[in-house]
Amino acid sequence: MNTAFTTTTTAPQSVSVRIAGDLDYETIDELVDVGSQLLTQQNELSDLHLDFRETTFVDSAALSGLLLLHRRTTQAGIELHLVRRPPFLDRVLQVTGLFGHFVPADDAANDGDPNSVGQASSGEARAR
Amino acid sequence: MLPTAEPGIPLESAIDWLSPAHLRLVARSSAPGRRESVNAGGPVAGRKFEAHHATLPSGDVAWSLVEDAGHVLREAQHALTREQERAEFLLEASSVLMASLNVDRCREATALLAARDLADAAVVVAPASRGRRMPVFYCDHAGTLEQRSVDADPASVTGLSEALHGVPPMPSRWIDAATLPDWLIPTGFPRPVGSVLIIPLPGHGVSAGALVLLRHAEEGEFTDGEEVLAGLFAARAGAALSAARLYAEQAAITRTLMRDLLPPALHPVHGVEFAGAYRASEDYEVVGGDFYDVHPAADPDGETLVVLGDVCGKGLEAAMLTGKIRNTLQALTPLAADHQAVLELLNGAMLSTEHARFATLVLASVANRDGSVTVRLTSAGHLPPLIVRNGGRVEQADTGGTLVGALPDIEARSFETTLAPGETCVLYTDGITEARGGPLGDHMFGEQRLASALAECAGVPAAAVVERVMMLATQWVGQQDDIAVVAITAPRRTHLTAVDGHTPGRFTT
Repeated sequence: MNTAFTTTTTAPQSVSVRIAGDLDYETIDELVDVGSQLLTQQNELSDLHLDFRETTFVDSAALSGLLLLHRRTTQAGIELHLVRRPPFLDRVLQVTGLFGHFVPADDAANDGDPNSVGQASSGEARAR
Repeated sequence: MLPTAEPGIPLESAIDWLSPAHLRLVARSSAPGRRESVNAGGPVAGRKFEAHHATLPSGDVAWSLVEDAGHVLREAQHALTREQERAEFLLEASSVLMASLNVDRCREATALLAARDLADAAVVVAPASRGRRMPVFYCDHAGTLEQRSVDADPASVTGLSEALHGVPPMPSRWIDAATLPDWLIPTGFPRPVGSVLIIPLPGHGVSAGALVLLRHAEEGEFTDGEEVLAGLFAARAGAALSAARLYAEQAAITRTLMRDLLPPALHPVHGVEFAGAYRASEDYEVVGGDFYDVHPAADPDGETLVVLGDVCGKGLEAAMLTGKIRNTLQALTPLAADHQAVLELLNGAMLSTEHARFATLVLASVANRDGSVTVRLTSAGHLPPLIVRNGGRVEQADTGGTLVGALPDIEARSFETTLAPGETCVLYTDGITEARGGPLGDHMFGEQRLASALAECAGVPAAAVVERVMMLATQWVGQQDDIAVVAITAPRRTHLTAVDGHTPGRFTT
């Protein structure tokens, strides 16, 4: 299964990394590298979005990598957003008690699927 | 024809071997008719020529040079055969030496090959591993192997201690074979030893030992070509020996770690059944990131602490963290009345700034209260345990919390329940539910499938529940992560009290 990371810069302050495929033991290091490079290269960056819509699997090693990335973005004063999360990712975040850590309450209200206006409550529903 | 011969240049400098022959010929007899035949031959511009003389009518001598093509060809063929034999020998040596990762077999093979093709006898001196005793392997030309453990000072043999330190060998002719100590000569080797060659067996950074080649007195000394071949052979043997040694060291480390890191076999404690099973991921080492432990209560009324968890990552690195967590939790067992406190202490001990390696785990405090068993469960970021009720209902323990080792502050919510006789609480790792397989090979086993399987395990002993779960997971998967399961089962009462209408299934089927 091929995993691909696609980086899109929407504004100088905002970058989105789309994760397609399995995010696991074998692929997480690359994502952490991609993210860490963005932190050092883009001085004006204020928001880093990880787009999980095409992600098929997340294992514990991947969570560890996301925690590391979160730590680095926080230190750099950048907000890390986990967006378009599939239900299985929300479930993993809830079981591990990390949902609140990765998804701030105001994010949870509107990032379930940015494309579907009017379903703002879906992300929050999953949070419970 | 003679590249250096130009008008005015003396013959001696143009072709140095011809003029002495000419002078000899002329000197033998001044009378041209009585001259004897003089044979001459030598190289001209790298080719070999024979020189034939003829006396001209004038009395002068004419030399005709004829290239000795046959000789050149014979030499070339000979050299080619020799090279082919060398290449064949080295090729065979490589494949024989690489066939075994056992250090002693490798040393034997080195002595055997060297004694057969390089000398009349060969001795492999291995560096002393502990203390002064050096393992020494002997082999004679007939292939008879002998091994001894020798307590001797290598410095007493010229060239040996140098070879053992990887210093390039000195030429054989510099070593007086008569000074060799007895321990370096195979039993039955006829004395005196004719000549000896001592070469290092180079390893990866450290010497893998020294190879000593012995020749009978009637054989000649080692030629330069033979010393080169022996050096090439020693390089291969040294590489094979150090690979074998590295492997042996790795295997020893893994064995030592595994002894400590593999989860224990479980036994009933104070009347409560405990059973556990663990299998490491096939792709990695035998030890992995899943673990469980049971810390029995000191007295029958006390709480037994069960721990089951999963460290992120795989292999030896994960196993090391597993060991650390298990030790910490064992030390914290006396505080297990407060799961939250135990988890906070563990979390603090694991926090690191360099990485975000974490663990998810479940704590279960189990106490036997007159046949029914109370279980207090706390999940720290782990999948909630499942409880198999009599009658086949499967409940998910309502516990949740933050994983440990990643965040400075953690939360945890405990769940308490009572197991009636025959009821089971199952703790498991995500290796089971995330096992990919099934008819199409890429479906996860999933929590639902596990719950359905457990529903059929109502009233079944703990060991059988564990066996069943492991079997299903194994059947399901193509590729899989580490998996661990622990089952806690309340003791069944006697048959008479069990058949009371509340415990159907087990005794009625």
